[in-house]
Parts: sequence; C-alpha cells; structure tokens
Amino acid sequence: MRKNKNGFVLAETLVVSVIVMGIFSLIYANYYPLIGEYERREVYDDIDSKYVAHWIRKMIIEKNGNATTLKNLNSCNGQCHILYAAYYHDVTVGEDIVREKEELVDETDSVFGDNSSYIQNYIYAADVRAILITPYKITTLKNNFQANTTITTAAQQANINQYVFNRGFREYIQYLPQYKTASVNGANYRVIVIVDHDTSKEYDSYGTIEVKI
Amino acid sequence: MIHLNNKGMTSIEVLISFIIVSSITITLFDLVTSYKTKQQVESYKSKINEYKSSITKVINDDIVKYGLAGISSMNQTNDTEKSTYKITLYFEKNTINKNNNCSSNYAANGCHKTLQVVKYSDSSTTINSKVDYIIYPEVAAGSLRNITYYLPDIGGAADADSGNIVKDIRFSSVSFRNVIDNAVLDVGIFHHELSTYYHIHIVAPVNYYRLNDDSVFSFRA
Repeated sequence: MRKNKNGFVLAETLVVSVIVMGIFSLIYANYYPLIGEYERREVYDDIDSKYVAHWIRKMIIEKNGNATTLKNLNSCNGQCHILYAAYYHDVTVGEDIVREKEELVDETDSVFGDNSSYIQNYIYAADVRAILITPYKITTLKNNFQANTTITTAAQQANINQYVFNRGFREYIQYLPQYKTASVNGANYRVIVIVDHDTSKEYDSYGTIEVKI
Repeated sequence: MIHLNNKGMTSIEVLISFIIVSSITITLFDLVTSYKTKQQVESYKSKINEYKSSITKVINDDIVKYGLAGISSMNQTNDTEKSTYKITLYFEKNTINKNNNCSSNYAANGCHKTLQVVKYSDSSTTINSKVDYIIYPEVAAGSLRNITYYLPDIGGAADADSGNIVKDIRFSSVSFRNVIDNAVLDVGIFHHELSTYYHIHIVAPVNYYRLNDDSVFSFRA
C-alpha cells in the first residue's frame, strides 16, 4: 500500500486556518458584548439610578406643568433637553482646554412651576447631577455623544454644544441600545439621569427609563 | 510494506521539548492565577450586587406600590454580640389589601412594615457562625411575615486582636436621614478587598401625593 507522505499543501492549511479563525471571530463577537453588558449593569445602570430615574419620570408625568418646554430638544444639537445639570466637563479644541465649566443649569422652576419643590427636593436628596430628556430612539444622540470625542474645530465645538459631559457618561450612552423598536407603552421620550455617589463611593452612576410626555 | 522510523526521539529533542513546555507552563501559571483571583473577586461582587438588588427591590416595590406616608426615626439597640437598627415605614395604602386606605390608622396591620438591620460586633465571642442580615416583612396568606435576608456567607478570617473569625462580607454602616421630605436609607456593605464600595441606598419621597398637606405626618419621632 502506498501512502501520501506529502502532508498538507498550503491551500489546505489556509482553508482550515480561515475556518478556525472564522469560528473564533464569531465566538468573540458574541462573547465580547456580554462583558460590556456585565460592566454596564454593574457600574452604569445600577438599581439605585434606575429607581432615581423612575421617580424623576413619575414627577415629569404627574407634576410637570409645562410639557412643551421638555419637548424642546435644542440643548444637545436637537437630540436632548437638559432639564437639570450641576456641572459640565472640559470642552477641548485639540489638546487645549478652552473652557472648563462648573455651573448649574436648572429649569425645574420654569418647567414644573408650583410643583417644582417635588423634583428639587428629590434632586437634592438623591444627589442627582443631571437630568436629560431625549427622544425614545437614541440613534442620533449616540452619534452626538461619542465616547472619544475630541473637538478639533470651533465649528465642531459649536455643533456639539457647550454641554459636553464626562467620558463615563458618553460611554454609557454608547453602551445603551438604540431602542429602534417602538415602546409598547407608547413612550416617546427617555429620561436619562446622572447620580452622584461621591459621599460614599466616589463615582457616578447612570440610569434611563422611558417616558410618555 | 511501509518503512517506519523506529528511532524514537533523541535526548536533545526530549530536553528541548521539556524546556519549551516548562516555560509555557510557568508563563501561564501567573496568568491563570491572576484570572482565578479576578474570578473570585467578580464572584463576590456579583453576590453582593444580587443581595443589594433584592433588598432594594423589595423595599422600593412597597414604596412605589403603596406610597410612603411616613417613616420613623432609626432605633438602635445593642447587646453583647450585635447591634439592631429598626426603621418603620408607614404606607398610604394597606399592603395586605391595596383597596384599604391607611390615612385613618397608620398603626393598622399591613399599614406599616419594620425594617431591621442586624450587624454583629467584631469583638463578639460568638461571631464565628454569625452572618449579618436584614429582616423585612412580606405579605403571605393575608398577613405580614418577616423574611430574613442573610448577607452571602463566603467565609472569613481570624481577627488579629480577638482571634474570632470575622466574616468577609459584613454591614459596615447603617444610616437614615430625612432630607427635605425624602427618606434616605443607606446600608454600607464591607468586603476586605472591595472596601465599602457597595451600599444599599434607597431614596424615596415621603408623602409624595400630599407634600404640601401639613395635616399629614411625614416623619415620626
């Protein structure tokens, strides 16, 4: 009997390698988002900020005297309305910090009117750093809140607005799904909150919940 | 007939193979050990998160469903081995029968629930088998029944001073504040590698539907 002692030819080796690499790529592509999801659940969308978002949403539905104002999404290039924000981070042109803002945006008085004490007290008690109202579907918002945004021109700076939040928040926005499927509850907007845990844990957590305005 | 090579491996080949395998093993050993440690820490974090989430959810569910009408100040009692912190939550609606309003009698059965946090002392002589826990009632068969939520027990280590086994996961602090018509409850969870990073932290408006109604009590002494 005569045996083929030539081993594999290059083409055979390549085909097998490509197949194996394809399988590994598929496994990696499916496994990697799970790590991101786990980290997001642990740090970003924790249960505390979820309940904070719930109460803010409840107040927006039940105590909101001026819903029209909330639907004005001009704060973030037409993609969000900043109802409340206690700080902003550096806005950069290239590597140079051109503005570092530490100021307060608070529209709770004008939006909630006589009921503003509900939300103002809660913001204070729960250490809420910011409240954003966005469309339910956040595809465009995700483009505006790139995790690695470096503003290189004045035009970009004007476009992205002065409200540039810190990297953690931008990463959170990137982690979120796009919410392409319409809400079963008929919600047309989202509430996104930033909660400050400085007093005990020294980190921010984020939460989002749908809302019908 | 097939001609086979019957010479086997030379000692040089065996030696080189052995050296290569040994180097790979040594290189991987540190890596595997570090992953093992990381896996353990992640497992602790996951257990703490599960615990925190379950407690936060049962309490917040009651507040969302039945409305928090009032809350007592925190009462602390100490004995030789543990401290017990008690806070009573009063609800707008009866937790046993949601159709009954509690405003006429907050002391009625089902109109209030007492949350207890039990924290063992490090110097306790009987700490070896003690795990800190929280007691919170739930409705079962038409009445309230206390449910005990033990912190996950992942073992412990001997305390340098007392020699007692101190549990790896413990409550580090219990605090309750009234912040302008909002109840803020915070229970710190301590782990020697994670420090006090994890907290059960509940913030809820009291008398949400009647905030400006002075006739309704909100915080009780």
